[in-house]
Amino acid sequence: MILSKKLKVVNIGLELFKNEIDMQGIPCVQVNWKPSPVSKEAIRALNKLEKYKKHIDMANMEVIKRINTSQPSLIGMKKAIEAIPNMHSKMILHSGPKIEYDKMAEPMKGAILGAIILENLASNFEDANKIILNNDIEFVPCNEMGAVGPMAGIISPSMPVHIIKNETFGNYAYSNVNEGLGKVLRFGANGEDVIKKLRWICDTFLKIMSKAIEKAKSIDLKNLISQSIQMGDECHNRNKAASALFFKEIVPHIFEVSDYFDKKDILDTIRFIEKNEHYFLNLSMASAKSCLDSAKNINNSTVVLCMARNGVDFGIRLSSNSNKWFVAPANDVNGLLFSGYSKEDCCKDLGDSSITETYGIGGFAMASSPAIVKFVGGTVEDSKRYTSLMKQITVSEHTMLTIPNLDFTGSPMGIDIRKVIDTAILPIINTGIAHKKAGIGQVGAGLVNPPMAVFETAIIDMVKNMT
Amino acid sequence: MKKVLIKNNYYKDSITLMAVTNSIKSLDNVKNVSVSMATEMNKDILKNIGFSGIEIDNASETDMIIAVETDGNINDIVELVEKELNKKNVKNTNGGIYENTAAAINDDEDINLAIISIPGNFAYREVKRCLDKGINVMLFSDNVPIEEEKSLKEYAVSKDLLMMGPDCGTSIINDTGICFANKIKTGNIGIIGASGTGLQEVSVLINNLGYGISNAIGVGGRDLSEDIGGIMTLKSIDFLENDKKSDMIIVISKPPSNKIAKKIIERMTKIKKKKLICFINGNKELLDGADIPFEITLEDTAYKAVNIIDNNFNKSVLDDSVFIENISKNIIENIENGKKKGKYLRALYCGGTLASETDMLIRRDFNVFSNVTKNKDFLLKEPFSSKENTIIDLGDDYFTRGKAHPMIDPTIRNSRIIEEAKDKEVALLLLDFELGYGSNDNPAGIAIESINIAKKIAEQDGRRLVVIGYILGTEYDKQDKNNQEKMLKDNGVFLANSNAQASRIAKNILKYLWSER
Repeated sequence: MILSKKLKVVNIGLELFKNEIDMQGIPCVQVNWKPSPVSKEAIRALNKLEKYKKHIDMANMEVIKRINTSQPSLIGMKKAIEAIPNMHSKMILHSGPKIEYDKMAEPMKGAILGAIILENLASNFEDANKIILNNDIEFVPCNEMGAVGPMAGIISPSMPVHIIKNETFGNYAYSNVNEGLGKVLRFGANGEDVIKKLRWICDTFLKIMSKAIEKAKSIDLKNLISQSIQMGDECHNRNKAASALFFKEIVPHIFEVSDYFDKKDILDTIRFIEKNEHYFLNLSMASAKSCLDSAKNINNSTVVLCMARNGVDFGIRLSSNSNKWFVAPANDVNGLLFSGYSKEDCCKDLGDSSITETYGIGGFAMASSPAIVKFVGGTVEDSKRYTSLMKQITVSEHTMLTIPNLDFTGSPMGIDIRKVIDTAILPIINTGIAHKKAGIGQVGAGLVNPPMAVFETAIIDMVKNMT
Repeated sequence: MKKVLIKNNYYKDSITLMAVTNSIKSLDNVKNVSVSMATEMNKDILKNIGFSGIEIDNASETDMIIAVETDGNINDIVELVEKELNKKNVKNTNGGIYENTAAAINDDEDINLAIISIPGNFAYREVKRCLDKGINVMLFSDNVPIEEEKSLKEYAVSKDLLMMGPDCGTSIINDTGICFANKIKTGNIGIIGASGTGLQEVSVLINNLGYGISNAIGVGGRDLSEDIGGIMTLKSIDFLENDKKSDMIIVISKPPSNKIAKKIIERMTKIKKKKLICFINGNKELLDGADIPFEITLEDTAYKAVNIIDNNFNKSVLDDSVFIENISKNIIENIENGKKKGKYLRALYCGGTLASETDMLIRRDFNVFSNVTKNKDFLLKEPFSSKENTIIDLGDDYFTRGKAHPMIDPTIRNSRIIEEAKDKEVALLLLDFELGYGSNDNPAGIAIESINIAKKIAEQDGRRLVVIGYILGTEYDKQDKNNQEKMLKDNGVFLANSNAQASRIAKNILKYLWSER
């Protein structure tokens, strides 16, 4: 009974009251309360799910088990049309949820035009546009094909993709090759230089890498992610360590197959990987995808298996009923901009790279990568706080991906939409910011949340499907 | 004007540089600024925004370029940039601050009390969350739907927890003052109060007589309504019965309906410890013959409590007839110094229950308008302007919409003080000054200037405006009661020792003013 116990207080609201408690030497923490931005309807849906708690928790446990025990490995590199099931020669994949061409963001359109030229379906942009107008191209979200691509995320038939196999469950995931920084296709650049580099990737790079990876047989990507997180990476915006570790893995194999190729081509391939400190991003994304996809279609689960943006909309998919998208307008990214750019220049949240946060790395592992939080004027304490905050909305933690700054506790994993609705805490995503016009490139980086609406519609839908 | 400054062999990472650039860019007279390392790419960017020259060309990749364009003093801006670059991050953002309740209460299983002061329509979820976790709740918020109050209180009772509120401003638990409370001697008198300042006044008066409080539990203004049925009051009685520190249980409230009064009295009859009921401005008939000590003013409640708890208490201490006679004499002398006399009292209160007590006492002998009376004929619908004798509770919703409560910010009373003085028929002002936790740091000091202006206004008209004051506080309160008293006395305010006494003094003066007519 409290009348005889030492008081330990939480003050929710006016700070004045906390100050007075502090003055009396009684321990007191402060909650800077804000009204819940969650709709009443969603909260009602949450309350309705209470009676299914046992079923949902059990289903979620199964999802967590699968994600935790998944073993993603790089086992090959092939052209998209050869590697990705159901891909055809007139299909172009894009990031985020489904979207009509004319509604797409400029960087995505620019990248698509470039891809059409790359595929030799047209020799100039005017003709490329005609092809699109004729509905000759089928646009499909990468995520619906087992693939992921950062920023515009454009994957066309001739582009090589990394083939990642989930050794535990046998499913595959795919991602394109990261072109590097500056004016590149994923930011919508489609000039001669860009196409030239892409042709080289589609040809020389692919030939050498596919042979080198064959030699390697299989590269354990989970191991690399685990190590790099302990070296200051979070594998979304910070991939330096992972890219260096990957370089260490692949280069001896490239050397092993060098007899078949020109010395210049070998050197170009090695330099291409070496120069790009974000090379590993696409591997990190595909690894995450392969782990998450192994947990598809588990009835009654409220865990999120996919978060993706196309520069206009933000979409999520759950484990239960896993082909259904829940979509709402994407947010602006809140961060720092390079010299000469302002808020008006920015494209909205873009790319499939939020699959990393869905998996429990990226922004969720921010405690491992304090440098990232400087993008919003934060401190090392903030970076830890973000990871701790994410524990409020996840089911569990990674057993294999542990964070030194948090005493080696695992990175939070398994976003539960019930917890998002209940706490109104949104997943935190670290991301780059693209210029809203095609072809200019990255203009900054920062933090962003999904729109609350996607979780609201998801939870309302969940109630309808409960058996 | 443009300026470029090269810092040789001076490195900062790109994120820090971006942060510095962005923060300087936001200054008013800065047209353009760039702080970057002298790489080829950055030199190109600088050229694009209009900065070029041999300095930039010659800078090497390990040098830093600071480029500024401004209408203001260029050197000042450059200095600011340097300051930003050298700034160390001392911000400690964690350390006990949370975004939401769940995070806070999940982080520490030992938390046993939540103080909640968020808008009432959102309060339910936060209270429920805390009660779920076994945390007692002090709910300061008002405008909570009554069905929610009922549901939460029933839930709290089922879990043996306190749900103090809604609209609960005062509690003292284990010697800790919560929200608006005074620092009171520790003792063996337990209080359960459905009113904030009521609880404060009784506890303060008990303290000033040399006795102390074990625990004071606020239950919120509606607990004894028919809808709620006294749930928390009854539970609190259970708690105080089991509380080793409490030898006495007092229940304070405005008078409930007969049905609820019966419930409370039935329960109190069973109490073996010493007990006392105060129904403010109530009627002894509510007791329906039960043998329980009963009072209807806060002052009498405190004095009776002390009488009960200490058989040897010297009652003569309570006799203030000499004090009142003397102070009245001084006040009358003051009034007679004027050429004219007013005839009305204007009592301007920060503490609502004190206003009610004064209303009750003055109404016994005089007509008085107020925004606290139940008497429809004298209820002021427009409390912004006074009429004849008037008592105003400035903490009423009318006044506090979008503004701070007068106990937090008493300045809102100041303009009203001056307004009243302009009314040529006003002779007396009565002002309360609450001390203690939550209250303003200097309630007396804040009012002094207005009091003096008011007096001058009256003087110009030939009146001597008299101000009677009451400081609700103890010698332990942080505002330094002695100093507050001195400030008011030095400015001619006549101080009473309890709110009821202030009313009695005011009544004496009104009698004098009206007897001459």
